[in-house]
Amino acid sequence: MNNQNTLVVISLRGGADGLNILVPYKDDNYYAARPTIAIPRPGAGGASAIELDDTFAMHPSLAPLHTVYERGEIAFVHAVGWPSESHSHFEITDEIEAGQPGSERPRDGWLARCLATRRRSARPPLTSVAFAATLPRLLEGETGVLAAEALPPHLVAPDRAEDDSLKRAIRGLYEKDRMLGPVATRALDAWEAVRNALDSMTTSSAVSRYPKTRFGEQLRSVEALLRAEIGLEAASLELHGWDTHIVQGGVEGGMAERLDELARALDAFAASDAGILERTTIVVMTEFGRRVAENGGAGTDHGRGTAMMLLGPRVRGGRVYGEWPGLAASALSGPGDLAATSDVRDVLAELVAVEFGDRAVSIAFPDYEARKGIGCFA
Amino acid sequence: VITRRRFIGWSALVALGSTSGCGLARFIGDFGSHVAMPGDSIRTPEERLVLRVLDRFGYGPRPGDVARVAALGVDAYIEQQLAFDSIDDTSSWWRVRRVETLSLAAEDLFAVTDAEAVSDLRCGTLVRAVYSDCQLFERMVEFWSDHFNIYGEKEGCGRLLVVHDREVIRRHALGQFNELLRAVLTSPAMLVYLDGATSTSGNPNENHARELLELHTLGVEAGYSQTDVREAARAMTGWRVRPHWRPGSSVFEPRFHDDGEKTVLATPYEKGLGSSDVERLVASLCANPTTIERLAAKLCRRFVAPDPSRELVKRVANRLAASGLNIRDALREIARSPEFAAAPPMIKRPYSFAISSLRALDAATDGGRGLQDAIRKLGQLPFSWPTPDGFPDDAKDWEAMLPSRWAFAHDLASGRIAGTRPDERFVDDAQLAATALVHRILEPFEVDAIGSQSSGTGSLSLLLSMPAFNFQ
Repeated sequence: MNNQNTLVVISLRGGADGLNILVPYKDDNYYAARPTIAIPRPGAGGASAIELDDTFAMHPSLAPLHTVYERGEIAFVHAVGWPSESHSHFEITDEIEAGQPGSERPRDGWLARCLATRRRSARPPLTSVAFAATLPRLLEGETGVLAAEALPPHLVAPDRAEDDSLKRAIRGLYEKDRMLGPVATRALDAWEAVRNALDSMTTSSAVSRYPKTRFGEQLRSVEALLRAEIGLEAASLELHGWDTHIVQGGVEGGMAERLDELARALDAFAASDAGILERTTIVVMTEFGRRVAENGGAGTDHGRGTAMMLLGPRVRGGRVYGEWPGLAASALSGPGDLAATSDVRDVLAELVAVEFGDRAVSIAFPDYEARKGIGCFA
Repeated sequence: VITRRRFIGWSALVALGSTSGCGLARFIGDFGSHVAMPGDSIRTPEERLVLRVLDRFGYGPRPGDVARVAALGVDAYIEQQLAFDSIDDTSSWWRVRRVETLSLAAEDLFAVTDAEAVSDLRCGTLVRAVYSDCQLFERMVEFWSDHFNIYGEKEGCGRLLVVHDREVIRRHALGQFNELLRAVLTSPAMLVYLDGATSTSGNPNENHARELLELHTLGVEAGYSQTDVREAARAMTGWRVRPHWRPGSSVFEPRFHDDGEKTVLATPYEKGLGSSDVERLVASLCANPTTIERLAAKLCRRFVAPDPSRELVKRVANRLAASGLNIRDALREIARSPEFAAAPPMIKRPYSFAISSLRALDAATDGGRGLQDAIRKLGQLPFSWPTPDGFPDDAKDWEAMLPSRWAFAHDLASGRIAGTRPDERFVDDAQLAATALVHRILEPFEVDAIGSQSSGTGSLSLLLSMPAFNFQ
């Protein structure tokens, strides 16, 4: 199945401010609403937004990705949001990852359900990894998933020989257990695959490109797993720190640093000499955007519409998609939020159709009736 | 250093020890000194039942507990546990007392941040689970904290959760379900968590009402309608968290209350009932057989089996109904049922796995950051479940996390969990540890696996990791 790309979902936890990621630089309402945190217009001198088209310019921290964008491997979708009135992080996050709004949502994640639709001649021991302390809803229900904040070189004990010896013993202890035996065996096999990937990574020259942060290490681990060709089908990563209620900053500051970390890691991934990006589709998303007007604390409160980023060879990139509602007072949603003219599922449905087939769309998003063709995938 | 031969030798010792020494263990157990004795091994069906009671109605035996409870008798032990307020719980009391936040009055809680409050509450919860002699009480606190789940990290919930845990959950954990439900309904922490605190007559927030019907009482399959949810939400409007000078309590503010006529679940509410709308709502939900049966089934699932028999659920529901929703009566019915005695082994949830390992190994813990991080990695740190449905009961949901238990086991055995340390004797003596953890002679294949380790740390981490200790 060489038409199968690995899907990487990067979740910006906390509600990332799409308006400072993709700046509507010709809209005076934007500058009026954000006296201290707006990103200056392209060419304004000093650090300023990088022009993408007649309407949007991107945050200068995303500069490392500009050439990838111009190559046509990155697309943005703006004014996209989840169809729910809630402004609660955990509720929206949970709904998005379950693939369904409302309280009667499935237990398992949309990505897990997609992976379950695949027919494979031999199931790899490790279909997916989730870089998180606990398994995110997104991959809940998937049996071949490994959840960990990092891929440490050991499963049980830091000393390699002891770790190997303990794993052997654990395999023996679980072999005969009817209930937990298969789970334990699968987990041990998966870690074996991880170990092999990590061993090959230490000899690779690619390691130095990534930022030396937790997120950088995680994306580097994804590259290692892909290089090892162990059959990895999906990865989930999280970047925290987007809940910018106070002192959000503009071209500099907390959010700019997060974007810089994101951009440098993605650039390292895209620059891999092993052609890793050619076998990958990446989606960068967040639970909601932020209020248009900055608040009294030089930050922004929870909002609605925001931006998504897509990377990979299947993306029809070099463009910003989505219907722009504008920032006039009459166009705002709820308490003063950027309106969501596209449903998060409009984008994800196209992604799922490309990677898993049309049939998988209704499995991933049971309540969703396709409304809007974005056209962001080839 | 343990050689495999010596280990097998010790294994034979267990077999010998299991036929004698019971009296000594009882003697030592009575004085609260915890030494694993041969009496901790299980020989008879009665002792198996004792172990099950300790595992499921508590967080597993400490050294000496099996023999102590066997001597007392299971029924008498359950009665003792149900009468929790007459248990002398000094051992946990003086430890929890040092966590000052937990005894702060609501208005003084502003001295700490929400994050500190939740961390201290978790500390108190862990310390009590490990040390308290009111084990059944602590188990029920866990049960209700799941049933009425509140996410500790939700903005504004942290300090209120300390008050909620103390004055709502712990006050009613072994009391009457109707009183518990009533207290939860207007508890400030729940009002904030489910957005009831911003619900107004013109714009009633349905979130809290929906969870009240779906999770706290009737269940999603009960056949109520969206109209019922909306009408219940109207009845629940008007409850506000008091401002900062009295943040731990709620107040009924008539101007936010929708005082018009309503019909909830086919029951008419005349206009002008004011704050007694919620009294009526609680009374009608508690009188509904669907609520009672659902609660009975949930208790049976937690304590007996993932798919309890209809007859057992019916008996427990009848007991609840006959006692006016008395939680102790329901638990007594379950503990004495033949279904409980005959139930198949159940996989421990990660939290039970962690706490029972500390108890079995007579570990010292401060319940602090180290242990909290370790239990978070297992996936079940108290008050860390974001959605209102609470930590899942189903073992299936926890399977992907199995390897994290092996890592926890090794971290605990090798002293890598800051602030927490098992008693050295169990690291030095795998035989003693085997008796304390699995209470039986090891099978030859288990001896092979555990005997393969050259260090006490390795043996102990395998004993904790093995399937036998992961079931209850």
